[in-house]
This record gives sequence, structure tokens and C-alpha cells, in this order.
Amino acid sequence: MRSKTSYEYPLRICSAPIVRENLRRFWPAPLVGAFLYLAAGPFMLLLAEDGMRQNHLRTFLMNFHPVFACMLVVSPLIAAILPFRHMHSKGASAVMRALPVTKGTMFGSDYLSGLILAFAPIFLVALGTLPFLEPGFAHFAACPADVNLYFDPAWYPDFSDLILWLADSVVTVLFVFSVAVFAGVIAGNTAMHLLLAGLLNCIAGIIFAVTFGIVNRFFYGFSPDVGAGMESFLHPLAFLMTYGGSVNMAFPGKLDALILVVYAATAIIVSVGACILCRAVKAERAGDPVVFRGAAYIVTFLVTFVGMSAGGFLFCDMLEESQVGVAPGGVWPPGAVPVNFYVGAFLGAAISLLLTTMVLRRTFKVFNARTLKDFGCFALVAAVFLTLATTDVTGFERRIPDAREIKSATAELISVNVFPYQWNFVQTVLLTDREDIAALTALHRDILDKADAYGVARTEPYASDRDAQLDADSFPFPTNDFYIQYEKIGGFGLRRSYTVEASYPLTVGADAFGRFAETRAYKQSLSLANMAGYENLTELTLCHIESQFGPVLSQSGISDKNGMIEFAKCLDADFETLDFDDMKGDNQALMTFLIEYRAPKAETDESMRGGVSQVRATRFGQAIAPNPVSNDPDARLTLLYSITDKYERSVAWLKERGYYDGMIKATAELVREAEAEAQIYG
Amino acid sequence: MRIAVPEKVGAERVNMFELDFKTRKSIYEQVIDNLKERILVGIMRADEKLPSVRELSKRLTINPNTVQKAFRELERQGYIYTVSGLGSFVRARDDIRPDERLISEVKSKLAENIRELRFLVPDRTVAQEMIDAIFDQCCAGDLRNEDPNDESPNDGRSAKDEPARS
Amino acid sequence: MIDIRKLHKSFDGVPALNNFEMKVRGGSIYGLVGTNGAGKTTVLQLIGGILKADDGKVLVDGRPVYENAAVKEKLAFVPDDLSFFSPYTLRDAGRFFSELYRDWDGKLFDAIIEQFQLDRKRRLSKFSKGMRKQAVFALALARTPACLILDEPIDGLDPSARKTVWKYIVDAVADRGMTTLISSHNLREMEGFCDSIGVIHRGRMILEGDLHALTTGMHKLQVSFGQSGARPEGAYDALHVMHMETGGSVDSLIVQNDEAALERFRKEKKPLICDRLPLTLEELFLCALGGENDEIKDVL
Repeated sequence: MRSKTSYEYPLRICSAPIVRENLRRFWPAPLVGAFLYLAAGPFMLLLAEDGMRQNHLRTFLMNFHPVFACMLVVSPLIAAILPFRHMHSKGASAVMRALPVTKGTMFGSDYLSGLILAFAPIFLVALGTLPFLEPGFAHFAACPADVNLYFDPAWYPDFSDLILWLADSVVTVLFVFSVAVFAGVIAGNTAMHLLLAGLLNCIAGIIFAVTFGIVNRFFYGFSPDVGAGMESFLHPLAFLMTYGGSVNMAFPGKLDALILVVYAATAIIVSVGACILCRAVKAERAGDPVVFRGAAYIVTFLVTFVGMSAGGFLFCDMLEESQVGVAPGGVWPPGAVPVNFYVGAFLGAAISLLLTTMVLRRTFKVFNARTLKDFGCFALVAAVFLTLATTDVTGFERRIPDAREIKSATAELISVNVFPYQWNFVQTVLLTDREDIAALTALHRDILDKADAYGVARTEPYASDRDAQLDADSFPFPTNDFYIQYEKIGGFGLRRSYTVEASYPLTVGADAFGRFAETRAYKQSLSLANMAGYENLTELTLCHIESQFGPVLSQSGISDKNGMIEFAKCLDADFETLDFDDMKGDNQALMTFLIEYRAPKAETDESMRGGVSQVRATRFGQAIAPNPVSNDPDARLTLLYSITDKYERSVAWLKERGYYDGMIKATAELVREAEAEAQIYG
Repeated sequence: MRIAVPEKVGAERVNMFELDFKTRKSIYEQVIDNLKERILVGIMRADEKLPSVRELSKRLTINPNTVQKAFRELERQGYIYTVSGLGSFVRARDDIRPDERLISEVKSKLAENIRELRFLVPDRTVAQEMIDAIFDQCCAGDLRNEDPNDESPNDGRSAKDEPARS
Repeated sequence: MIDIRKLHKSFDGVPALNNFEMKVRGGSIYGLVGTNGAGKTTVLQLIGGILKADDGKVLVDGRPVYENAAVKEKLAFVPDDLSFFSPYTLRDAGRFFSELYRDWDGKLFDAIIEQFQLDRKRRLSKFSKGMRKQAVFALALARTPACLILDEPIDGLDPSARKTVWKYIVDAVADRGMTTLISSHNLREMEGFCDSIGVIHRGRMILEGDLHALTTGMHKLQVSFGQSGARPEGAYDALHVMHMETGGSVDSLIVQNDEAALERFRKEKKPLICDRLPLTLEELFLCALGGENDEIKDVL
């Protein structure tokens, strides 16, 4: 049998006999993978009950099933290792290089074989899933938010979902495979290949996490949500794990197509780079840990960098509590020098460097001048990095724009417990008035000044879909969060976030915060007009909140719509006049109302501008969590509103309409019941 | 010069000689000596075609270059002649003219051996007799006249042909 | 056929081949000998296109080998380390090579395998070391290469297998002028088959050429002038002595002189014993190395 080999066509990228040979030798690997996939997937679907079948199917297609998710990593890794193994032993390398193919052709052949091996299980399983899918291609468009994807028959997975899953899987596998192939070109033996493949795949994530962690720790005011959404760009798996991939379309505005294209393009670039590099690999280095000396340096550097950061963080966390003079939570006030961190960083770096050098030189005897020199080089670079990352050379921390330059500002206050509402939530204040903005900048400055005593380092972006109450538990003491964003006139804005001890606004920061709380914008944001919208009010009932079982409703309340609206207007008017002392809630609440209102229909519902509900959170105008907007006319949200005797107008209105006495009595009744309860239940 | 019709006979006769890989004598020398012997003794007749270099090397499993060299040397010494395109042929014995240098080489070898004999046999007369006897023996087996009707070419080979292969 | 000029090759900064030159004539059987670690395998791997030279040229048929698929197609390199082939069966390997090499001769492959009595369907890892060598040899020769390169090929084979191997090599050389390059320590065997020789020592070629020409120019002499000390002054001045060893009253010399010079020596110095022995490849090798190490002892 005469077959054309590469020499006849100088530019041929792969040689058919070699591809065939690779497939002949390695076909069991994808077979096992396919078997696992089929067992976990279509086979399970066969066994599942009818009702649960679609549920399972969607889980698979969203890669939430562990086997499916695992296969996206394991399959390409193995496929990248097997065909390239000949590069990792001297004997095999000698034989393969003597074959009548150029190195480029060999690479292309191995690459193609690997791709086939990697993709085979996926396509097999796609075929196996076909019988379970609904016919049709309807699901390429985003689906509305209130649809229950798992049980709504109109949204059972169909061919379009499979195509989306295939797109996700193909890109993920391609990416992991390409990076693993690149690692294989640099590595000299199979063990190092595996290690490097893992390291390089995670490298973006590691560097991101480390840099982010350090900057977040060292720069008071750094807003962690700058990185929100960036995790999708670190690795396709991160993208899939966070959002479930393209199939889960519950998040409108997600850039999934862009992400897939970016990853595919990166994969191709990495592959081309691997091909170019592989032609420079010397046969005599087969079997060494790393075949390029430069690569050895880079790997050492990366691992030591990670070790340094880990060491630094570890030391800080370990020693914080025992340290005197460091604020609880361990933030370093602007200008302070965190000795712990540097000690830990040094130790972490030293240990990582020694371990990595041992692995790369394949000996335990690394305590010599050469290693010291390497450490010195690393220390130099690390010093530069740490200096930049930890000291405030740019004046980041203290920067507050001049009030005259600010066009508008947004402040988000999280868990700042203010009157009149009785639950913690996220409050958004939009400021455009010059006076109001000045108050905000003054507050900002005050927060910075009080950072030493009251500042706290937050290590992750505020995840607003969690209950704010829960979040408070993540610290050993209650905290408040301030997110401040400035839009400057004709320029870039400024964004900061601060976490402070909960006592701040009411004690140490009372002056500054009080001034801010008395601004029109602040009052505006808390008005019922903003929070609920007068037309949306549906119920207003008296209640008591001191019970440990939650608010207790009484029979008493305002039932007619117009009455509610009028009363609400009074409440808002009264609130407008309160000053900070009144708002601090020191005064005993006269009575508390449970206010129910219709959930907004859409994002752009005017009545929701600037306000918040207890469940939804905005982050500078951009939704980051499922909105409780709903097309269901019966969906309701609630607020708890307390009034004091300072609410003169409201009290007058109640008296005028004859509600007052009944409500006072009912309140007393509820209080008595609560006390009795407390007696029984302790 | 007659050119004999190529026969297989010459080639088959060559089959008979064996090479000794263990001896100090090189293969090259052995091939030359063996061919020479066959020519001198008369096993291979005048104008008989020798096997080709290819055939001979394959049959004996030796380097064809060695065979080539041997043929060239034999040609130089006058034992064979080559016709391009047809092959190499045995030269008639009378036409063989070994060159002087070789003769002197052989003579010095002979001298060496005689010297050795003298160490063993101090008596000059006895040694002389031995030498004469050996010479007669050597001469008896060869220098046979060319006779195409002669049907037994192998008989004349003497059992003792030590001197040729030391 | 093979031409190496001014070759330099280092590994991790340590030079392995230094200004190395080598010429292998087409159709010859060339033996590459040298001490362990002298660079033999490196040279073969450079010729096979496995390693890349740091400097200099490695040409096969006038064309550079490295990354040249067309040239490599005509080469068959049989390495010393056969571990690569372990998972293969002869049938699979044969099929693979038949697809890769245009000049694959299936019939020859079958013939060799049969002659060696190798099981086509059995994995090579199950073969003995010798059988594995035979198998790989079959795979190499069946490609009908223009140039066969063997690294330590004959070690581990039984005598009849060796004969068969040589038979096939000789057949190929004789029939189609295949060039053969062999590296081995078994100088005796090489001596029987090689027509050219190259001696490597410490990364340089110190002796190269036609074996016959090299050895006929040199002779081993055993000379004695009687009892110890009876040797006259300057006894060997007239000879070009490459190497000398003295054992009691007998000197063993390796000299590079022609017959006439030896005859003169005998006449003038009149040694009691002067035996001449043909030089073996082994002695040539040791002598060449001896020369490199400045072990020529002063005659006086």
C-alpha cells in the first residue's frame, strides 16, 4: 500500500499514517470516557422516571452533573498526553524523530489525533442524548426570568440546547486540550506534563485570585466587584460552573457567545504557539522535567509567586487576632506596614522555591549558591510587585474627587440599619444635587479617617443574592458596607467600597453619616414612593416585631386603596422632615406596619428607580442577581415600617380617620402577647 | 584471448572454499589466496568466468567491497582479467605475471618461516631436507597442464598446504 | 554518501563532538568504533536526523538530514534502545512502516521474519532481547533503505542470528549498493565485514579510512635481541613505532612501515627474533587510542 507521506507536500500539516497509528493505539481511552458519559447520561435518562427525565437532562446539559463536568477536563487531558508521550522518553523520541516526517507534521498529526480522541466521547454522548430531546430549535433566545426551566414543558431541552451544550463542551475541551498540549511541549516527562497542564490551565485564575487578594487586602476602599464577571474569562470551566454554560439562559445580558469565541481564539493561539515551540525542542532533553531552561525559570517564578502570596495571607490570618493595634478584620489602615504579611510571604516564597527547584532539578540537594541566586532574582521582582501592589504609590486610598467635579454619584448602603425600616437590606441612593454630593464626600472622608479603628477588609464581592443577615455572620461582628461611585464631569469615575463596623454610622461616624442621612437624596431613596410606589400598595397592616418568631400581624390596618396612598404620602412627608437624631431609632416605635406591594413588572419600571427591595440588589445600576420582577400579577413584596411620635402628620391623619386608638390598643395587645410568649419560651 | 562461454561450473567450484573468520588472516587475503590457489591448481581453467562480485559476496556472506578489492588485486597481479559488461575471467596460467614486489614479499615471508624452522631444527642439513620435501609436495599438486578433457580437477590438491595460510 | 563537516555538538554546555569530520562512501560497510562515551551514538543520531547539530553540516547524499523528510525516508536507523517498540506487534509495526515508507518491501519483511522464526502477532515486549533486535532489524531492512544505520546491533544475538543478519546486509549491499554504518564494540566481527573504519575518541575522529589500507600499512612485530638488556641503543629508531610494550626480553611493537623498511631493520639490527603478525582491528583501535593518549614510550 503506497501512501503519501509528508515529504511530497512540504506544507502538509499532518501525516495520515501517524494519525491512524495514534488512533489505533489509543482508542480505548475515549471509549472509557464515552462509556462513563453514556452511563451517567443517556443510560440514566433511560432509567429515570418520566417526570424527572427532563430534570436530569437539563442538569447534564448545564454541566452540573459531576461526571459531565469532570469529563470536560479529564478527556482533553488524557487526549493531550497520549499522542505526545513519545516526546517524553529518550528512546521513543529517538525512533519518532528518525521517521520521515518533519517535527511540524508530527505535531500536527499528534494534535489531530488528540482532538479526535478528546471529542469522540462528547459527540458520542450527544448522539446518545438525541432520543431524549424535544424536536425543535426554539431555545436560542433568552428565556424570561420567571420560567421554571426544570418543569415548564415549553422549556424542556430540545435540539438547540444540545447544540449550545456542544458549543460549550467543544470550546472547553479545545481550550483545556490546547493548554495541555502546550504544557506537554514544555514538559519533558509525563509526570511534569500532567503537573504543568494543571498549572497552566489554572494560571489565569491563580494570578487573578492572588493579585486581586493582595490588592484588595492592601488597598482600603478597593471595590472587589471590579472583578465580578471576570471569573468567566479565567477558564471555560469557571464560566460553566458559575452560570451553567450557554444552556442556562436565566441571566439576560450574559456574554456567552463572546466568551466562547474568546476561549476558542485563545486555544488556537496557544496551539500555534505550541507548534512553534515544539520545533525548538531538543531530542536530548526528553525525560528532563522541563525542556526549555526559560520555561523552568517561568514555572519556578509562578509557583514561588503563588507560594509567596499564600504564605503572606496565611500568616496574616493566623496572627491577626493576637496582634495588638490591628483593627479587627485585619485591614491595614492607609500607610501601615503589615509585618506579618511580609514574614509569611518570605517563608512562603522560600519554601515554594525550594520545592519547585527540587522537582525541576530532580534532586534534594538544592541548598547551594545557584538556588540562592534564583531566589535573589525572584526577590527582586517580587519586591517590585509587592511595592506596587501594597503601597499606595498612586494615592488610591485617599483620593476623593472634588465636589465640583462630580456630575452625579451613587451610594449603596448595605446592612446599614436605619429607621424606619426594620430589616437590613441594600439601599441605593442617587445623588445629583451639589449639597447632597458634598455631604457624601464628607462621609467618604470620614470613613477614611476612621479606617484605623473601624475599617474591615472584605475578601469577596458582596453577594447580594444572599440575605444581608447571613452576610453579617461571615464576620465575627456586625458590619456595614458602603459602595460609593462617582461620575465625574467629562472623565472617568471613581468607585470605592468600604466595610465598617456596624456601630460606625451611629457612633463614631454619626456626624458625617448624619449629615448624609439628612440629604434629600437619602430621604428620597427611602421614601415609600421610591421603595414601593404608591399605585402598587396592596396591604397595610399593623404588626409587632419583637416576637422571636417574626412579625406578628394584627387585625388592624388600612384596607382601602386610597387610604393607603394617602397615609403613605403622609409617612413620606414626615420622614422628609426627620433629622438624624430622630432617625437613629433610639426612640421607641409607636407602631409598626407591614406594607405589602406588587412586585415590579420589569427592570425599567419607573416606580423602582433608585429604590430597592429587600431581595433584589443592584450594583451601580446593573442587576447582578435574579430580579424579583414578575409578570405574575399576584407576586408581592413586603416592607416593615415603624413610626415614632415624631411622625406628626401621619399620627394626625390616623387620628383623623379614626384608626389611631384602635391601632394603639392593638399594638399594646401584641406587646403583651409577645411578653407572655417570652415568658413561656424564654 | 579466448572468452569462454559463461558457465555455472566455475561458480559452483568456488563454493567449496570456506572462510575462517577467526584467523588473523584477513578475509581479503583469504579470498585472494583461495582464488589464486584454485587458479594455480587448475580447478578454475583459463578464460573461465568467475562469479560476479555480487554473487560471490552473497554466497560467502562477505563485504562485496572486499570481493571487489580482491578481484582488483588479482587483476593487478595478473591472475584474472575483466571485460566490462561481461565479468572477470581466469587468465591462462602461462600469462600470469606476478609483480616483483609481491615476489619479494613472499620471499621475505618464506625467509621468516625458514628462520623459524631453523630454530626448531638446528641441524642445517636436516632442515634443508625438510624444505626440499615440502617444496616437492607443493609443486606436485599444481602446475598441471591445461587439458579440457581432464575430468578430475580436484585430485591434485595436496592435503598439506600450510605455507599458504599461516 | 554521508558527509559530516566541522560538526560541533554539546549537551548542556559539555561538548560531545568537537570539529568532527566523517565521510562514508556509498555502498560501503563502515564501522564506527570508539571508547564508551566517545560520541558514537551521538554521531549516529545526528546522521539519523534525531539530534540537531550546534554547528557544521550533516549531509546524506549531499542534502542536510535534519528535518528533511525526503532524506530520512531513505535512512533506516536501528537504535540501541528498543523500548519504543515494546507495545507493538510485528504485524502492527509492519503496517505502520509500510504506510510511512514508500520503498517498503513486504515480501522481504515476511522472508526475514520467517527466517528468524518470529511470531508476527506477539507483542515485542514478550520477545527476548535478541528477538527484539531481530524484529527491529527486520523492520529496518524491509524499508530497503539507501543507508542502514545500526547502533550496537549484534550484541545479544546468537551466532546463527548474527549470520542471518549479516547475510541480509551483504545481500542488500551487493544487490543494490546499500550503505551500512555500524557502531559496535565487537571489533572482531566488524573486522570481518567492514571495509571502512572510523575511530572516535573524545568527540573527534582520530582515524578514518579504508580498513585494509590502514591495517596493511601497520604491522605488529615481536622482537627480541636475547636476554633483557641486550637490546642495542636506538634499535628501533629507523621504524615508525606507534606503540610498544615490553615483556621481559620480548618487545611487542606496532609500527607503521612498509616491507622494505622492515627488511632493512632486520638486516641492520639483526634481532634474534622478529615475527610479524597482521594487525587486527582491535590492535589498530587500541593503538590509535594509545597515540592519542601519548602513551608512546620512548624507545631509549
